[in-house]
Amino acid sequence: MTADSGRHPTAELDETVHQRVRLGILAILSEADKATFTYLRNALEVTDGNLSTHVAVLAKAGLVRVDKGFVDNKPRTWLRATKNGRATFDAEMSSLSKLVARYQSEAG
Amino acid sequence: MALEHSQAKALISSVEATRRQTHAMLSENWFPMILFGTLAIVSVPVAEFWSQTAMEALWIFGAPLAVLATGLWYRGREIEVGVSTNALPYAITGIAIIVGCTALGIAGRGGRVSYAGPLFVIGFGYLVFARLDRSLAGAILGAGMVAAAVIAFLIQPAHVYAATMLPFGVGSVLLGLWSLIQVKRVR
Repeated sequence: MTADSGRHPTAELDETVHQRVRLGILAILSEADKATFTYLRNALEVTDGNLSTHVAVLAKAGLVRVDKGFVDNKPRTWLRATKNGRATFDAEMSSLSKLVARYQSEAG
Repeated sequence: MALEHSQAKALISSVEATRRQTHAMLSENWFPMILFGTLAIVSVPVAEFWSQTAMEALWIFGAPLAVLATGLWYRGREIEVGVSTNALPYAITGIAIIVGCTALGIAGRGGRVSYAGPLFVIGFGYLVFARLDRSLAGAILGAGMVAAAVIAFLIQPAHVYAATMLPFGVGSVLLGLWSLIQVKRVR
């Protein structure tokens, strides 16, 4: 069922990704093939602990994949969006856009 | 789930800004643009004042080296910046450009196909790169090269190699410098 069929767009928002940092993580990973933990932390302006918490939620939901490795003997954590993660992100952005459009049409 | 209009708009705006920032990091291409542009510019006096064979040798040896240097540069950037895109479509396009240019250059046997053909292939390759990077400036350069290749094939102007390769080289270097300025501004 879609917003067009009368259901309010807020009902389509996904509780797992509907949060600024988690949505930001998926936004970056849907644009890039992969990103490091450090890049995400700096781009989203969050602390290590805060980012770890959100990444764990997304990983548990199967929306991101975490790969740990070494570059020049230094540990590095890479994150990738799964296919489901990309689809969920697109659906969330679509729902948010519908919501904004609905508010605007109601205001107009 | 209560979500105000202003909150939803702010969230979309924030996410779009994050995507744009990542896209800008990923589409940083000043190094290959300047490198290949310089190679094209250097090849012009070699062709005009030395020989056609020397110019072909410059490309046959220079292009694979430039591709290798570009690959190493992207690898270094990936480690330095911490974000990367899928390199496969870029690698396939780069290899297709080299193979296509070499094949048409040889098949043309010094005729119009030997100079217009490679230029067409490079222009088409730039269009593919521009599509991958969602770059309007890159698309304009690629389309300009494809158009120049068709015109060169049809009218065969004097000094056709210089007339087509010099604008490409200068355009590529200028686009690369523009990209470099944007990168310095963002960082």
